[in-house]
Amino acid sequence: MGAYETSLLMLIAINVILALSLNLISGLCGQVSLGHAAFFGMGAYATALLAKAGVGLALTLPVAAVAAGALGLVVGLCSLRVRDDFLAIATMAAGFLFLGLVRTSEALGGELGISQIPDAGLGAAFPYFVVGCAVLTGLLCAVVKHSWLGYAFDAVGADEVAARSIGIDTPKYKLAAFVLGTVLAGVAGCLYAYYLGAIGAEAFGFPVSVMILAMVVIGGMGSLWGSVLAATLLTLAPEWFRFINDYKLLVFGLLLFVMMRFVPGGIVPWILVRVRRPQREGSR
Amino acid sequence: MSTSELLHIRDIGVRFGGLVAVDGVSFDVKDGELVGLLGPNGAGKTTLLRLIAGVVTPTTGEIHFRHERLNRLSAAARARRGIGLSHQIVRPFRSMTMLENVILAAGSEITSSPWRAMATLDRTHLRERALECLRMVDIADLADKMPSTQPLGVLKRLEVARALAMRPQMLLLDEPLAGLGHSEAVKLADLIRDLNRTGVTIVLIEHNIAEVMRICPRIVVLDNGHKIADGPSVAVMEDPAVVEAYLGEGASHA
Repeated sequence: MGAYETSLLMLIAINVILALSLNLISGLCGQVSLGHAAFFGMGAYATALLAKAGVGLALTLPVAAVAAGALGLVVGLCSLRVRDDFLAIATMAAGFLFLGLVRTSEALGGELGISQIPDAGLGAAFPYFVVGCAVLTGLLCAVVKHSWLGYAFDAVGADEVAARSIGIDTPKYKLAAFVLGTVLAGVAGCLYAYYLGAIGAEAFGFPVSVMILAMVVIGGMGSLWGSVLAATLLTLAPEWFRFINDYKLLVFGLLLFVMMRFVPGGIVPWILVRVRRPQREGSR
Repeated sequence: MSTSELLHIRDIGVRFGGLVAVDGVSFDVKDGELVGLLGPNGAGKTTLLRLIAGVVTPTTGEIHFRHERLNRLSAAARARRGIGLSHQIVRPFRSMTMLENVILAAGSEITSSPWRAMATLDRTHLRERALECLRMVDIADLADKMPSTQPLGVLKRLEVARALAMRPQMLLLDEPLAGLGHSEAVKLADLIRDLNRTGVTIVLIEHNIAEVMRICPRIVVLDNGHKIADGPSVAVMEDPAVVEAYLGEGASHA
């Protein structure tokens, strides 16, 4: 594999982690988030600062995860009282707040960002490590989805009042989804900082939040393979068609709209239904 | 408080903004009772049930269940303590089959904490218990159907089955018969009486007075947020205050 392919593979792996992490919050637990890039950024900035101070990957990765998760807990706590469209606005505001703080903070490099981040110290094994993290994230999400946690998430996302009346403590579950999802976004941020070696505020702005949401919606809310597939496609598309790169927000926004309007279930569930149906009819 | 007393409500009241929905209501429910909660529209019946279930927080008064003060407990915590609520408007989880709806309720021990839930993968060990609940309300043969394909009568039973799966000591039913045809209503009412005979204490709101009179030995009547009658069903329904609340002023003299 050439250097370009390796680099692309790592970017795909990072985006897969991001899509899966948001899928936990929005797909499995039904909580809309339009500020997911902020948690990604939290992980990246935490890593950049620590790495420049000479701290190694063994510590930066957990710190990035915990920092993003702590921010997720705060945003989650603030969001407990709001639902649906208000939650979307609240999380969007959290994203802009993060961006504003980063842009005006001297310590975080302001508009210039942080560059010359030392590498992860894994040498040629780093790409494998990144892909390994994506695989582990996928496995963790599969456990969550198929455990009683995913079962309860499903109930919380569908009807909170009904969930409470069968003994499910909905605030606890929403917070669990926020913390788990944002911890994973922090991991993605850590990997991203090492991968690029330089980070700036624009990498964690609103368009990135929209892109991550587009991945989840296009793949299918709650579908893990959908998130993986859509993250891969949406990472490759701007590489293959340069013009998409120039109009990312427009293209992803349009894709989101088209999906919501015509295939609200997402691609993978849509295909599954069509593949399974003829089989069922044949078995009758 | 006597030992057989399950629910003890003293002077409970709640206001939404300027509107007093329930005001100074007191009553007790003994273990094993089947109580009908009646009253005209807007009398505060649903609010009272929600106060007991913890969906609404009282502004005044005390609620005790098995000698434990409930006031500050969340709805989920009360559900785990044995207070089951079935909603007036059916609320099945539409992404799950009927059986999965009930299994999730049967696993309230597991879902009491997200971490415990995450560590539990097996959903089959509660299958039998969930099926038993569906059998109790006579819809076990529809276990693998999706709720959205089922008629209201079935979904009403699913609500009751889901509440039963938590093995409640007390079941609160909000208009379980509403929207059902006559024969269906009679069947479900019989079922509620049978459930009560197995030892489940039941408080139900119902507008179908004929069925309430048939199955409930005791009736509590609310009007404008106040309790206006409480006692054996026949005596309560002959009470002039109750007749007046239902049929309007002067009706009792007619």
